[in-house]
Formats: sequence, structure tokens, C-alpha cells
Amino acid sequence: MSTESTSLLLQASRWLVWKLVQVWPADSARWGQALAAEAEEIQHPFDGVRWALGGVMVFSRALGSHLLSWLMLPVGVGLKQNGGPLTTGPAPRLPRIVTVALLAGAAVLLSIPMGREALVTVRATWGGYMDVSTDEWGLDKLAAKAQRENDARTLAFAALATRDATRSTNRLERAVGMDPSLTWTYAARTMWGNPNWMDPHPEWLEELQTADPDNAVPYLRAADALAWQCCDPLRGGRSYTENDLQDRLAANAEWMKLMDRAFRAPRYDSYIQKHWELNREVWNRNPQLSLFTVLYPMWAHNIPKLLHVRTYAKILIAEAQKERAAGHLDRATELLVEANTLGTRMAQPNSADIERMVGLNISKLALPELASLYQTTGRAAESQATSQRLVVVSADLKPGRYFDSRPNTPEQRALKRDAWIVQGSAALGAILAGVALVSFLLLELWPSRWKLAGRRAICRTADWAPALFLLASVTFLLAFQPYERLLTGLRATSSAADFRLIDRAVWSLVSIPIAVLSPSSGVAGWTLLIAFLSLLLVFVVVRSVYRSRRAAATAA
Amino acid sequence: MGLRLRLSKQTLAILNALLARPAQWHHGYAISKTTGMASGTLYPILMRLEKLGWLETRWEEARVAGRPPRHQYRLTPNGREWAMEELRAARETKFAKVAAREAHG
Repeated sequence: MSTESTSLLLQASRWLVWKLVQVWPADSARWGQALAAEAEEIQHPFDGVRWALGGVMVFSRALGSHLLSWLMLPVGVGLKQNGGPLTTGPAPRLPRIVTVALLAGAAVLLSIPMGREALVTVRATWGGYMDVSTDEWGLDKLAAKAQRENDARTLAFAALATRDATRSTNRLERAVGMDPSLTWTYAARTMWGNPNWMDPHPEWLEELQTADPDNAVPYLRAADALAWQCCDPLRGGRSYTENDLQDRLAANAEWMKLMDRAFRAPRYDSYIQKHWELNREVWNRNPQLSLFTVLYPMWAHNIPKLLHVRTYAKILIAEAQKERAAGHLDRATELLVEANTLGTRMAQPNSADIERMVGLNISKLALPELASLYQTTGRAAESQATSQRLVVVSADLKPGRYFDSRPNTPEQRALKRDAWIVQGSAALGAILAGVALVSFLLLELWPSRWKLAGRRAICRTADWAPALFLLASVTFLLAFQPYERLLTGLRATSSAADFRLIDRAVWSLVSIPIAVLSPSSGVAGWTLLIAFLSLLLVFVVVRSVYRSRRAAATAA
Repeated sequence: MGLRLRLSKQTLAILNALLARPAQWHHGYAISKTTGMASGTLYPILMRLEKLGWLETRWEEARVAGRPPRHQYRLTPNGREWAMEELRAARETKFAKVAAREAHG
């Protein structure tokens, strides 16, 4: 080895050791200096390197020992040069190592899969299910990946979940181009913020009818687009009564033709089942998607305008009544059966609640007329069957059966209670974590700044906040377990009907932030605060009066 | 005594080196050359001996200008007594083991 490289090796070794001395813990710094001083005496390069590497080991041990001594002291207490505690006033009781262990315990609990899912789900509920939860950035990544891999179904999912109309349209058209069996997605897409229920893409309407000619829904959607042009009350700020609307629509021959085709179609399928199957499939392949990225497109799934469906049904029933009055009983029967049949098809389990409700309503309008007609024409058995069907329909339309989010069963009440505990412990945990962090920072960064009373309060907070945070985390996870089971069930079920049941249960978690953040909650909160402050004021005044009277009496 | 010291072979070697000239002050590098030990092994033992009160230390002014002062070590009187006892006990244990091996062998 040349003299130059020898010299460089020795210099490097010495440089390393002296660098270590600069950061050596104060309580054992002189040993570092001793080690470094010896390095200057070494002439052989490999001895120098060996000495420096040994120095690194000694430094690591010194650092570890220093760190352990530091951890055994409470937050805000430093180490003196001799290794003893350096206190500047009252200190917390718990050593740092206990505080760290408590916080680490909570962090471990919250980072297990159930903990992560619970955090993401609860965060999404507070983010506002209508707004933040759709995770647009994640959807962009998912869509890009799906395009690279020619995965039409994932691309369709991203398209339906995306709230940006342009990106949604592009993705949807690409997905259907890759896989024409996804044409139904044109019907499912919601026009975010657009009062026109159908996208101005007439070619989509034609594709829908071609792809699914036996389904009533494509014709209903085409009829909706037509009605929007001629008669929608929201367009141009006009307002109609229901009868006006009925007259205007009945006068539109094209609309009537489309509705007739819809009512005569063998099936009614608004594609909710297909949409749920698609969402579930993509969710299971991409578990990082938040619950609301998966659920919200289902809540916003586009369905035919039910007012138009009901309007046409009423037109049919009115027509049937006219035909009956004119003695054309067969024709009257045919019209009533047509109305009732679509109502029955709409009321199947996989339809949305509102579709089922409107379908049953249509049946409820048509069935009494039909039963009476059968009675008149001597078809007693059919009349009785129709009447029995009417009883079933009326029972199904009981108030509160649909859209009642109140917990009615013991299981629902238990879930509601768990929802409050989940949300409460999450909020409390977040506050405690923040409070703990602030108290640690105040004690560590500005240990001698605080007056005695303030410092004592900060020390007490530093002692209790981590333990309470751990407790809140445990409570949070235990209370979330029923929801975890629901989410597992949600991932496993392919039935849209089961999805709705589970979705309704999950809603109890979502409803709490809505209740807390609602205007009436704000009013209630301010009312309580004013009441409290008023009582406090009364108490202070009464106490002052009492004291001054007592002082006067004593003086006398 | 407070801190317990595990008497490894390395500790005994260091004690032996220090006892060779018990009244003399020794440098760290010299002990390392005598015992063949790396600094990573030597210094933790020296630190522990000092904590036990069996080793005394001092800084020696550098003989060459521009060099930092060097740290020196020697055993305290208590330390010398304890070191001699431990080394004797270690030798007896070693002889006993050798004798036992020869007896069985």
C-alpha cells in the first residue's frame, strides 16, 4: 500500500473517531475523547481502522445506555453530565419508557388490519359521505392501472365512483368499448349536480336499448330524456301541478310510445344488482378502497324517474276506467294488468327501496280497480286473488317500513349504541393524542418556561393522557367489532337485497356525525353553553351578595 | 458492591496487564497491544472497572505539541487486591479443570 493511501486510511479513521466525539453523550464523553486521543498515537493504518471501528461500537453502547437512562426519566427531565436527572420544576410521575410503551401499544392496536379499517371508516364518516369520501386520487390510480391491464370492470367501477363528469364519461366509454357487456353502466351513472337525469349522450340510450331490449329501464331512461326536454318542472324554472305534468306527458306521443314499451317489457332491472356485484368484486381485489368509495356510488345509483313511471301508471288506470265505462272490459283489464305487472316487477327484492315503494304504490292504485273488474266480469277467483294481493301490498306499504333509519330491533339498537361508543372513543382518542403530544412538546422543548400551577397541570396531562389514549383505542376497537363483522358480511354478499340490509346497519355509524354537525346540534350546543354561563353568572352574583352581607354583619 | 462485573477472559486479561506494573499508569492503546484486544472490547471493560471504583484515571498532557491529552489508567489499591484474588481464583479453577480432564482422559 502506498504511503499516500496509508495516510488517507489513518486520517479517515481518526476523522471518524473525532466525529463520534462531537456527538458523544455528555455523561461518557471523556471516554470518547480518550479513545480519540489514542487514535492519534496509532501509526499502522489497519490498526487505526480497527481502533475506529471499535470506537463506533463503544459509541453505540454509550448512546444506548444514555438513551435508556433518558427513557427512565419522566418527560421534560433531562440528563446531567454525570448521568443524573436535570429537573427544572415539578415533573410527571411516569418515566418516558412507560409513556412510550403506552403510546406504542395504542399505535400497534390501531395499525392491525381491523384498526386500520376502523380508522379509515370512521374518518370517512366525519369527512362527509357526500364529499371527501370518494377518494378521487385513489380512483385515478385505480383507473390508470385498469387501463394498462385492460381491466374493463375495474375501469367501469372507477368511472361510476368518479364524481368528475368528464373523466367519468371517458372511463365509462373506454370500459364499455373493452367489454360491451358493461353497457348497463350507462344507465347506472349519476350526473353529479346535474338536474338532467340523463347525460346528453343520446347514443348511450340507443346502446342501452339494443343491449337489453327485454328490460323496461332503457325505455324508461329514454322517456326521461324526452320528458326533460318537454316537460321537466326544474327546467327553466317552471312549476307544474302533477295533473299538468300528466296532461303534458300524455300529449307527447313519443313519450307515450316509450312508456308503453317499458310497461310491456318482460323485465324491470335498474342494474342495482349488477352494480353491487361489480363494486364488491373490485373492493375484494382492492381492500385499500375506503368503505364509502364503494358504498356511495350505490347510494347515488341512477334509476328511472319514478314520478314519470307513476304518471304513466295513472294514465293507464284513467284510460282503463274510461274503457270500462265504455263497456270495453277486456281492454280495461289489459291496461290494469299492464300497470300492476310493472309495479310488481319494480317491487322485487333487488330493487332500490324507492323503486319498490313506487312499484307497490302503482299496484295499490291498479289492484282495487282490477279486483272490481274481475268481480263485474264474473271472475270471482281472480277477484279474490287480486284482493288478497292488495292486502299484501298494503301491508308492505306500512308507514316506517321504508326509509326508517330509527333502530327498531334489539340488534339495531345495539348497533346504534356501539356506533356512539365507536364515534365517541374515536373523538376522545383523537383529542387525547393531541393533548398528550402538546404536553410532551411543552415539557421537552420549553421545560423551564412554565409557572408552577401551569407546569403541574401539564405534568398531570402528560401522565394521564397516554394511558387514557390507550384505553380509548381499546374501547374503539372493541366497539367497532360488530361493524367489522358487518363489513366482512358486506364483502361476502353478492345479493343487492342483503347489501341494503347491511348498508342500513352501517348507516348508524354515518348518522352520528350528521347528527352532531347538523344545524340543530349547533343550536342545542349554543343553548346549553348560554344556559351554563347564565347559571355561573347567577352563582357568582349570589355568592358576592352573600359574602358582602356577611362581611357587613361581622363589621356591625 | 453495587454493579456486578462478569469476569470474562477479556477482563482477566486486562487485570493481568494492569497488575504487571501495578503502580504505573497505562495508556489505552498500550493495554490493547498487550492484551490483543480491540478498542470496542477494551473500553467498555475499563468503563465498568472505573464505575466499580477499581480503576483510577487521569489525563496526561500530550508529549507531542498539537496532540490531544491522553487518558491513563491504573488499578486502585482495592482494585489491586480484588484483581489478585480473582486472578488466583481463575488459575485455581483452570488447574482444577485441567486436572479433571487429565483424570478422565
